[in-house]
Amino acid sequence: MKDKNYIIKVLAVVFWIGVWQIASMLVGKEVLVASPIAVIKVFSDIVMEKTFWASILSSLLRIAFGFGGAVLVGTLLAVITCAVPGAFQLFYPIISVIKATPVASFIILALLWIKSTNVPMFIAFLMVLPIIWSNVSTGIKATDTKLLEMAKVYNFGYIKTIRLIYIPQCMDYFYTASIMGIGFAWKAGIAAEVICTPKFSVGANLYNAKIYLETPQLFAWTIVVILMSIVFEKMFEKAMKTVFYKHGTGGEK
Amino acid sequence: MKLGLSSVTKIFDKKILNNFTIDFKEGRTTVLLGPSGCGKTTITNLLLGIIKADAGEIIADSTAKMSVVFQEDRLLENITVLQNLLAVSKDEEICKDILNALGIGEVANKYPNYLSGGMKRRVALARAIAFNGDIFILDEPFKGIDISLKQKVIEEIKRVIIGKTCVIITHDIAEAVAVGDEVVILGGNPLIIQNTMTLEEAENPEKLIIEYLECDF
Repeated sequence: MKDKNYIIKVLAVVFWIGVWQIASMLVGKEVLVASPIAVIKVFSDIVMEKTFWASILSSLLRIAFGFGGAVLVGTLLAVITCAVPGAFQLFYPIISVIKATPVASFIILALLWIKSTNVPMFIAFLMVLPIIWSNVSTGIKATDTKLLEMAKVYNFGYIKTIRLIYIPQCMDYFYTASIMGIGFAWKAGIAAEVICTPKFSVGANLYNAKIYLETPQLFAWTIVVILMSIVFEKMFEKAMKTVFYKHGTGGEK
Repeated sequence: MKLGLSSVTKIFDKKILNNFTIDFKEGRTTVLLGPSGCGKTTITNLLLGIIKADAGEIIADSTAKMSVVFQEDRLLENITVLQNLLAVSKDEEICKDILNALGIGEVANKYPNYLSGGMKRRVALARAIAFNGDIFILDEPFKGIDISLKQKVIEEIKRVIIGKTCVIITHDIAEAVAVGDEVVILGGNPLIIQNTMTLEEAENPEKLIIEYLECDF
């Protein structure tokens, strides 16, 4: 069954590459739609360059720090929101403004406030923060009151109640928000890099490919972004499952 | 350990308790018997401090440890059965002994959501025993437990609660007779105590309870 699913997945990818190849042939101009073969060739060239890996590592670190910061601050704000009366009313307007403001506006504003190399990290942070805050707050509020009563009767105390009840009960909300957040962090972070063009960055390479009309290169770097996003998401999923979802994998420790 | 309600009034949609007083004798097991929805669980929730009385006084020593089996099992699904017990007790060996005594030693390392209803109930009972409370409040503690195992579980509970103040809610007259020192028959709306009987004094306690229930419900 697993093999069958794998084959279907591979066939789906092959199908879409075929569609891409046909589209490229129909358009007939590499500068508009680069062919898969041209992209693969460019891709195999750029991976040999040292700057490729430096760019990937730099972008990865910027976005990971922005994402990580948003996870920490968003969770902390969610806890405050649920614990302190009036905190929701305090945070809600600013979070709504962040959610509604176009990413490009924030990027340009952030360029005025902070060093351009740090802008992508800040933007990734800003885009993920509302998702984490909103989902984790909902998770905390949805915590089973019957379990909280049990914890009170059995003298769990704050730490044990958080560890054994709040964290597991909020984990699904946190997980969903994080997976969504990773996608947003990558898109917004790379967009910020394109505008700010830090020296070693995927975004700067995308920008250069665009201004020199190097469409195969543009496609190749876009694929890099997609692959990095997938790898980052899978790593996060794996870490979450290892640490928090042990009980869902077979019924026995 | 003193335990009881003194002139308590509790209103939800309707008045459940009105100036209601009950005193649970120290070191004795009192069984609350009455029809579903009459307010038995409201009494235990008041004793546990889960809900507040609208008027009257809850008599409970604030330092008393209370071992509780709730109406629902309220187990932590993300940790194993043994870890559920270790959440209320530090002694792993004692926890394992309790699980073995209740016939669920083999599921110590399983997660509760993989257990049957009766097994989960026994885990809830095991947790109450592991907590080693001064007072035991058990709301339908034997619900869902297989009939062939029930006697063994009842014997274990009886052994644990000797000398402790214990309140048990049940619908089952046989269970009431098996574990109770006193039986309080509740009914009415708002709730009143319709009869209190000491089982040791009755020649045929089961018959006595049935007779009383038949004429009043």
